[in-house]
Amino acid sequence: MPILTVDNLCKTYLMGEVEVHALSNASLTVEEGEFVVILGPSGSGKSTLLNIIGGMDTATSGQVLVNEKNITSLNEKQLTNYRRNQIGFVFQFYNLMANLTAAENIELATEIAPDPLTPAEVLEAVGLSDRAEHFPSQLSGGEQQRVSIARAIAKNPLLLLADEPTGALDFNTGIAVLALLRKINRQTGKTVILITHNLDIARMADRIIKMKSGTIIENALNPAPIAAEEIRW
Amino acid sequence: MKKTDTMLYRMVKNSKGQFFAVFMIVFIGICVFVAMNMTARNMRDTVNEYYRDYGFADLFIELDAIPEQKIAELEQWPQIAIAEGRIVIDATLNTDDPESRVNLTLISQKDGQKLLLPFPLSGAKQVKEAGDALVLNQFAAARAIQIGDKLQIRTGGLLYNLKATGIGASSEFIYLMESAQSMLPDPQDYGVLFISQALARTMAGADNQIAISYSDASFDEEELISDLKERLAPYGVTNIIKAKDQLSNSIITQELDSLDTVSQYVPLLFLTVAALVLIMLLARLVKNDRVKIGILKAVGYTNGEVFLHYIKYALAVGFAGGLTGAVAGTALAGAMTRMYLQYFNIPMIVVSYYPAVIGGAVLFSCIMCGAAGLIGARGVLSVTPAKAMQSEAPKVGKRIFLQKLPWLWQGLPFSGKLVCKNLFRNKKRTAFVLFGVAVTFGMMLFTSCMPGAIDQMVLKFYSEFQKMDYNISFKTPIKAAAANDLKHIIDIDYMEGRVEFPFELESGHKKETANIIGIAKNSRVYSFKDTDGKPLALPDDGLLLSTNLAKLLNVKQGDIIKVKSYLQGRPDRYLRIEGLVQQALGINAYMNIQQMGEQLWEKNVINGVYILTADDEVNSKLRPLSNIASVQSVRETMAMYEQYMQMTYISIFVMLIFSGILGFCIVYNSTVIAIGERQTEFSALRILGFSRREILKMILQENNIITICGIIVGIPLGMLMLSYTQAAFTTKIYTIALNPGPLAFLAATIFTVLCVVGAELMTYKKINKLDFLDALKNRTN
Repeated sequence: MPILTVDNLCKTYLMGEVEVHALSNASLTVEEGEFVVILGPSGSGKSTLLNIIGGMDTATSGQVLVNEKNITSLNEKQLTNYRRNQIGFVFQFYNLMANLTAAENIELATEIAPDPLTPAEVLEAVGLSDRAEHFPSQLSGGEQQRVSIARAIAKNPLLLLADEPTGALDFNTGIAVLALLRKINRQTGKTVILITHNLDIARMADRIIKMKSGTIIENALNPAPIAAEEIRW
Repeated sequence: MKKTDTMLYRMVKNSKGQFFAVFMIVFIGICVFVAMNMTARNMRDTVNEYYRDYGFADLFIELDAIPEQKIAELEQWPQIAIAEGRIVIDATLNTDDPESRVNLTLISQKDGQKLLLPFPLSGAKQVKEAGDALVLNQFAAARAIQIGDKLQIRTGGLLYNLKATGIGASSEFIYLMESAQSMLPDPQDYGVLFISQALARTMAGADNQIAISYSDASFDEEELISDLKERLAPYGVTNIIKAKDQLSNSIITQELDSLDTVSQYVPLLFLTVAALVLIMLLARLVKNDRVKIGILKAVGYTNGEVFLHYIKYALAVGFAGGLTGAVAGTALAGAMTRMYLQYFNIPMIVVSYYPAVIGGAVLFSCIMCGAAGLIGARGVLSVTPAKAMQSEAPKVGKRIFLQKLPWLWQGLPFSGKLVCKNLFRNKKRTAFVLFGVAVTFGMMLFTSCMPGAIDQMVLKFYSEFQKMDYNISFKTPIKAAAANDLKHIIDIDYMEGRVEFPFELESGHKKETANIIGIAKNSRVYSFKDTDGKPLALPDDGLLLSTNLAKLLNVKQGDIIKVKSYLQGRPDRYLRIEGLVQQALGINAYMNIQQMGEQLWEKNVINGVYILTADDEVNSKLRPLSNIASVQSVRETMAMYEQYMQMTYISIFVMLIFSGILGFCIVYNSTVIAIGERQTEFSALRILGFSRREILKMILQENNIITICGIIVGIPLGMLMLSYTQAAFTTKIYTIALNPGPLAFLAATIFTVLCVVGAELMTYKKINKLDFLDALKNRTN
């Protein structure tokens, strides 16, 4: 049974007087434990899709079933609960709270999650135990992104969503972050959905979904995913 | 601690200057409220206990003479618990200085007295022998009278030698004034001696005043007064004074009421300003924290939780400022109560701490700040996590208003155009800083014109409204022509007779006792002006009323009021109000002396004169005359006022400090917010090649324009505050006319500019510390 089913999802919004179709009848399925990469150029609708899957945005029509539950019919309060209990989000620009330490940034998430991991545990997992008491400004970009990943997984979510997580990082740091996401996916069995415009990153995915102009043009399993360390761009 | 609270704590810590600035506004507001409110409560408690323990009367009846037995009969009335007679005599004290005239009120004391007991401070507790005198403490202190001193007094043309055997206070003379027209206490020249009943009898015969204490029965006071007036008419009732109208009590009550008013409106002003600052501060904070709010919501925090996070900032200010302000106010209340008691000469003190006031103040502060938080942080609710992650679309560029005026716009240099565009681009921010400057200017204008207003109040009264040098009152009324005898004693340049007598004025349900003054048709002593400041002639018939009295009676020009006489056998009269006059001190009605003689009094009889004279020996020359009740010198009154002003100046200095803090806090906060949210813009300018100095110059130019506009807006705001204050501080005793002169405007402008410069110097430090490149790099932090 797929952990995620997206069915004929449409998202239309107004920009000034122009109607923009960010998503048009997008449909896909993802199985539990898969490492999925959604690939597409800028403006293809991948961030909109991820935001709707993550309960951060609402659809104009269509359905998103997470564990068979249709999240497009949830009201704002239910969506918040959904994000709180089932989603871990990793952002391109880390988006850590500047005035909280690494450990506190993680606690910010664990405090409200029903079944969280401990901050020490996740910091250990991302290799930052010794940086727990550092503020974001005292961490490198890669370290900040690892804290951001730690914050996302600390809630023990059903889905781990990553929006261009290497977009602001240099190559080596980017690879290290991808490796970490893969490791978490492998070790915990968490489903990871990562969006990127970088074709090379897609090669590490179990499933590759390609998007263009708001539609899904390909949804295929990768027969031979490579290790993150093997990726080159 | 919850992590959102940790964030809040660090947010406060990182912007402690701004937090402290709002905190100070709340702190001062609550501190003033608690201090004044508790002082007023303590004062009321003290005064009430003093009145209760020392038998302050509920009613004072003045009459010609009444037998003791008739007074005792009054105690049979169900409404009356105690009725005591006493003898009150006007006298003068003989001193070494021939020019000083010291008026005395002698009051008889008897054994077993229950009402109006003196509070013994030193020496004998009561008068025992006929030649003993208990001296009122204010008078004793002012004239350095000690126990054992000999006092020679003159009354009814006879000299008496008394010995000061004790010094005491009296609940009846907490505020020692000879009459309502005296304006200020002058214990040097007016005092009270308590003497034995036996001596008083030899001086004046029978009792001429009755003090009454009510029973617990419920009854209509007006009805009782009317019955008493009727029953006591044969004994020549001249005046019936309710406790609330008793001079000392009425001044204290008014003082405490003023304290209550100030304790309400000053904190309300401060908390309103704090709330407005908080609204702007939080609104800007929410705007700047858009991404942070988005992340919190993306992580799973509910709208309510994120909203509460920002409201907590406001609540933290409200709670911290409220609690510390309440504690400081409580401490201040004790000291203020002692100061007031010293000022009023109350020999006892009841100081309590009122947890309800403290709790109420903190709660009020939290509610005001919490409400400000709700309004200011409401933007949190409209932030959606997905949108928050995207860069905010730039605002649509529009031509500003000034560009529609090409003749003005073309003339501006490029930097001037940039400054104008900045000002108009963010109207809310500009309005906020402008509001800060305007409030500061308003407060400063108010503070600056207070000394002038008090000066004006007294000066105008004695140099424009009344122009006499001396106001001489007679004990017994005389024929107008007889007053000419005074011209043989004093070198008089001009003299006119007058009649001044208390009447009960009634309009509908409103009643007030006020002196009607009968003056010559073409008086050279009085010059009346109507409410518009235009000269007003004394009408042949009818009354002129001081605006204050008209307000108390709720009447206007053209209305007819009932004038009830305290004199026996005089019928009630209905007189038309022919005009309202501005009168800074006291409440009075004025009438043509001839008409007054015909309708309310006796023809060609006067009970005083006003004189214009250059004679320096008026007091000594009048001393031997037995029919002189009092000689009021305008020059001495003005000198007394100088002394009184010293205390007022301290209050004004405190207000000035408060205004300064308020202004500084508003301008500092608004400028820091403005700079904080323009970091990216300044960074871009730096990259374009602008120096720090040029950027600072631009900010200063913007601030200068706002300061000028703020001052312009501050003028009507200040005038509004003045008119409110004028209404709040107008009492029966005085009317403050707050008309700021050019000096007040200049002082207010200078103080406001100083505040702005002070705040700019603080923000200059912030601009210098700004890491412009970092600001460009950081999207979220």
